Amino acid sequence: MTIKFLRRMVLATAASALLFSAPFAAAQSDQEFRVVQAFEIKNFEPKANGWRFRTIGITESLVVSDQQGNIIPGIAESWTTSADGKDWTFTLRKGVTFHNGTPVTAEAVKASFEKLTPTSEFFSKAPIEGIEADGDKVIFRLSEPFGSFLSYIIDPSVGVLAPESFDADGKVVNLISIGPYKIADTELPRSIDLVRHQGYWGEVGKIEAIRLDSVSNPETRANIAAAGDADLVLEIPSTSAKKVDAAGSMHIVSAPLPRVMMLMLNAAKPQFSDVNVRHALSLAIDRAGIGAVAMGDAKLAANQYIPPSSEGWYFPDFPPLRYNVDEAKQILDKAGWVPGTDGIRLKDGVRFEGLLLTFPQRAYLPVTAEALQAQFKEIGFDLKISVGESSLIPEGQRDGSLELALGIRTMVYQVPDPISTLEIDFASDEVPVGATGSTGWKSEKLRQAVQDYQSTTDEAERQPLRRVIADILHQELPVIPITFSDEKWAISNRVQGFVVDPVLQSWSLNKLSLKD
Amino acid sequence: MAVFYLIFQRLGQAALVAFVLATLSFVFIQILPGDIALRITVARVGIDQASALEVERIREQASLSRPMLLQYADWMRSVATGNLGRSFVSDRPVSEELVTAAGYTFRLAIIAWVLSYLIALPIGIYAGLRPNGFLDRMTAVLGATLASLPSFLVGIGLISVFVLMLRWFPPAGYRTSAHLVLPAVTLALSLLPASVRIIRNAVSEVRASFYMTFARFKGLTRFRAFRDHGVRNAAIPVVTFAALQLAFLMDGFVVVETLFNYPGLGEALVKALLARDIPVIMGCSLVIGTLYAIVNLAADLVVVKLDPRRMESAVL
Repeated sequence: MTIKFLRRMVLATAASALLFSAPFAAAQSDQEFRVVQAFEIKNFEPKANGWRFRTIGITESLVVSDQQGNIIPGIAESWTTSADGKDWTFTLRKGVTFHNGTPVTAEAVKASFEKLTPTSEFFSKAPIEGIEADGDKVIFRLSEPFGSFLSYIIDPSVGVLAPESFDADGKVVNLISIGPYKIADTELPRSIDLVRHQGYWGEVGKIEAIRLDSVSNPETRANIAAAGDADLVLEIPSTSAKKVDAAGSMHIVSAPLPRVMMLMLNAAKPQFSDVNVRHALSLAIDRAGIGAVAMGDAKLAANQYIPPSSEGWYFPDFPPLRYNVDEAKQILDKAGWVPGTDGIRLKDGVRFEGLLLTFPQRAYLPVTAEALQAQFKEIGFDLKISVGESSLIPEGQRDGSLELALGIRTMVYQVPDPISTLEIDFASDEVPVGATGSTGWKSEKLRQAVQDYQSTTDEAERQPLRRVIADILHQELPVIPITFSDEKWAISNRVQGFVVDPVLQSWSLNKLSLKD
Repeated sequence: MAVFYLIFQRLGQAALVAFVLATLSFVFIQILPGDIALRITVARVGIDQASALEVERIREQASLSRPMLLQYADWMRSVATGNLGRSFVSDRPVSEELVTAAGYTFRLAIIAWVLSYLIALPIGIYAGLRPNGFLDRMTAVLGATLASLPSFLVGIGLISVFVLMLRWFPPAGYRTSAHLVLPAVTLALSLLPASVRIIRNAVSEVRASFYMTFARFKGLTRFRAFRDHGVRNAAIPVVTFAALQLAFLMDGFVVVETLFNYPGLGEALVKALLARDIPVIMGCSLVIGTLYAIVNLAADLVVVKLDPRRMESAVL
C-alpha cells in the first residue's frame, strides 16, 4: 500500500510537471526577426517609454531627426515660423494614416499634443499658449520665441497618437501612432510583437514582423548574441564583444554615443569650492587608463564635457583635459592644502576627503570609482566609495549632503539638441532627478547664455552661444568629465542595412532586410 | 474529520503568516532611507524623464504623503475586498502581475524539484543501502563539491557547454519547453546534494533499525523487507525535507531568473523592492507566505498518510 501510495505521488508530481511545461511547447519560428534590448517596457505611457517607442519605430512626430541631428520632415511635409518667432505652422502630408487606418488630420494631431504635452519633461518647457488646427495645418502659438522648438517637438513623450489611443480620462491605453511598425501583440514588460505599417508615409518596413524582447542582464544579452538567438542585440558589454564576434553567428558594430561619464562634486563643500582644486582633481585622473580598462578603449578619454558626436557643441580647439599628477600637487600646495602625516591633505581643519556615490547598473562605474580612489590618493585626497541606488545621488543633491558622485549623462536621448539636458543640469534651480548635473554651483553667465540660445532661431547667434556654454563648463568644471562612451550592437549575419544612429533617435528597423 | 481540522487550521495559519509578512514588509519599506516617491518615479518613467514635478505628481497619485497608518489601513481594506491594488510602477493590477510571475515560478520550481528527486532518490537509496560503499563516498565528495558551487556558476557552466558549444538549447527565455531545460537543471543541481544526503541518511537509519533486522529474521529478502517496512519509515523525513526545498523555491530564484531571463517571482520582488513598489512588495509577501503554507500543509498531509500516528502532533 505504501509503495503504491508513493508511486502514485511520484507519478502525479511528474505528470503535473509535464502539464505545467505544456504551455511552453509552442515553437519559435525560424523566420521570426528578433530584437533584444535592455529595458523593460512596463506600460504604454509615452512619458515613461516614449524614447523606446520612437527608436523601435512605433511613434513619430511632425518632424524627425536625421543621423546628424538635423530636423527633417516627418508627417509634416513643411513648416514655417512667424517673423516674431512665436507661431509655428506645420503642413501635414496628404494620405498619411494611423496604424488603425484612420487618416492623420490636423484635428487629431492637435488633440494628441494637447493630451500629451502636460506630462512631457522637455516639450512642456516650450511656452505654448495654444494649439490650433486649420485644414491641413497645425499651428502652435507661443507666448515668447523658443529657438529650440523644432528639436523639442521631437520629444518622444509627445509622439503623435490617434484619438483611439486614449481613454476617457486622457490616459494612453493603446499605442496607435504613425511609425513604420505597429503593435500586433504585447506581453508587457517582457516583449512586444510588431508588424509593419503598410500606410507609413516613408520607407515601408522590409521585414514584415518583429519581436522585441527585453533582457536586462547584459551577460544574458551577450549569451543570446553569442548563440545567434536573435537578429539584433543592443548594448553588448565591452567585455563580451570578442566572445560574440568569435562565436560567428553575429558580428559586433560599435559606435560612439553622445554620452559622458563624469565626476560630480558638490562645489558648496569646502574641499571643492575652489575651481583650482577642481582642476587639480581633474589633472589627477588618468582618463586614457580608465578608458582602456573600464570602457575597453583608451581613445574614449574625455577632453571636454560634450562628446564629439554632438555636432556644433564640441570644440576641438579647447585645451584638452590633461593627466599630470605633479601639476595637480603644485596647485593643491599653492591653494594651501597641506599633506598630513597619513598623506591626506588638510586645510583649516578640513580633511581633503569625500564620499563618492555611484551605482552598479553600468558595470564600468564601480570600476572607475576604484581607479579614481587610487589616482586621487596620489595627490593626497581620500576617496571613499559607496555603490548603491542611483536615486541616492539626487537625494544628496537636494539636501546638500552629497560630496561626490560618479554618473553618466546622455546628451540627446529625447531631444536631438544637448541644450535640453544642459539647461536641466546647469541652468536650473531645480535639482535634476537623474543623477546628473552640478551641485552647489551656479553661473549667471551660463544661465544667460542658455536663455539667449533658447530665445533665438538664428543660427548665427546660436553658434557663439554654444561656445560660451561649453567654455564655461570647461573652465569651471562643475562636473569633471572622465570618458565618453560607445555602444556595441550585435547584428545577425543574415541581416543587412543596419546603420548606427549616433544621436539615438531611431534604430531604423524599417530599413533592415534579410539576405537571400 | 481530523484531516479537515488540520487543513482548516493550516489555512488559518497561512492567512495569518501572509498578513504578518506583508505588514512587516510595509514597515521595513517605510524604515528604509530615501524618498519612496523618487524611487518610484525613476523606476516608472526612467532616470532621464524623472523630474521634481513628476516626483510630486507620483507622491500625490500614490497617496504617499498620507500618514503611514492610513496608507496601511487603505491597503488592508482593499485586500479585504479581494483587491491587491495597482503597481506604482507599471500601473497594472498587482494580482495580474503576481499571477503571471507566480505561475512561471511555480512551473519551473515543480519541474526542477521533480527532476532533482528523480535523480536523488535512486542515488540516495542506493547509497543508504550500502553506507560507506564506493557510491556513497563518491556522492559525498561530488555532493560537497556541487553544494559549494553558487548556482550562477553552475548556470554559466551549463550555458557554456550546452548553449555556446553544443548549441542544444536556447540561451535564455521562457516561451518554449527547451527554454526551461537549463534553468531547471541548474536549480535541480542546487537541490541535489542536500536531498541525496537526507535520503541516504534516512535509508541508512531504517536499514540499521530493529524492525528491519526482525523482518530479515522472518525470512524476507532484503528487497521485500525494505519495500514493506523500510520505505514508509524512510519516506517521512524525506517528504518533510522535500517540501521545505519546494517551499524554498516558491520565493523565486533571482540569480537563475536573471541569468536565463526567466520572468519569475524572485525577480519581480527584487525589482519591486528597488523601486519601492509597495503594493507589489506586499502582494508578493502575501503570495509567498501563502505558497509556503500550502506546500507545508501538503507535506503534513503526506506525512500523516504515511504515519497516521503523527496526526495528533500535526494538528497541535
